[in-house]
Amino acid sequence: MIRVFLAEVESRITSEIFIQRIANNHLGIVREKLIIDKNQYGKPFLVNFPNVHYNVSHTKGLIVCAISDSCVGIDVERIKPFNKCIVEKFFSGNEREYVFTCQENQDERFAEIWTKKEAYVKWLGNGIEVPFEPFDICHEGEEKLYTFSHGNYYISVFSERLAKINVSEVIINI
Amino acid sequence: MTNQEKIALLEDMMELEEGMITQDTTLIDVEEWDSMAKLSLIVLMDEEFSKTLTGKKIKEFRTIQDILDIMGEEQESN
Repeated sequence: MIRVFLAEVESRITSEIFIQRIANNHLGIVREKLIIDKNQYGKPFLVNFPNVHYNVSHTKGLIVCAISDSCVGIDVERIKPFNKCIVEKFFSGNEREYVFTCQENQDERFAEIWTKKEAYVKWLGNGIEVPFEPFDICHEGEEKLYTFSHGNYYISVFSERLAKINVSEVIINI
Repeated sequence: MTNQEKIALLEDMMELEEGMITQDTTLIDVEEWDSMAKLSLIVLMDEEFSKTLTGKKIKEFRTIQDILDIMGEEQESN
């Protein structure tokens, strides 16, 4: 099962504090057992719980965390006017077409594609950053992606086993 | 362009309030220095400074001053 935790925040909260809060209050993990390390590319993991995978993303106003029993990547982005040059320079042809295909909802479509790309590279966890090694998210398996909106935000989750698992959203207070 | 004007460009790019960053600010401490900001910087460097910035170069940046250095020498404001 993949659980997605969301918290609306007014000021910055670190990923470490957020995962500590979730681990303590929702996973039954006591603070003493919660040791976070990072792989060689900087992706964090829980040392004492190899079957609990997590990934955190934050943007102004919202922080999100995906918890899963397999590798997972998550990204959140606020829907806002975007720099069209980014799409023109760095998105694939399929992605550009999806964003620009109609005049309406381009900001939403950009946020959707962007979070999908970021969730994918964060799932990989091998140090690739968008967009330094170009790829086409349209070719990376829609069945592995779960995308939804929360207010003015888009959130995407990428997992190998996503198709078999229900995603539950839990809104928590910080 | 003065360093202050360049910093203002970066603040605008990252949607930061005026005065949030200085030349000495460490990028790892700037929450808004994310993938989107890095792409935006590549576009900004191309459009405003006619310079090509690579992902490899961006990964070497540690402070705001590193970015200012790439932008070019500080010019006196008119």
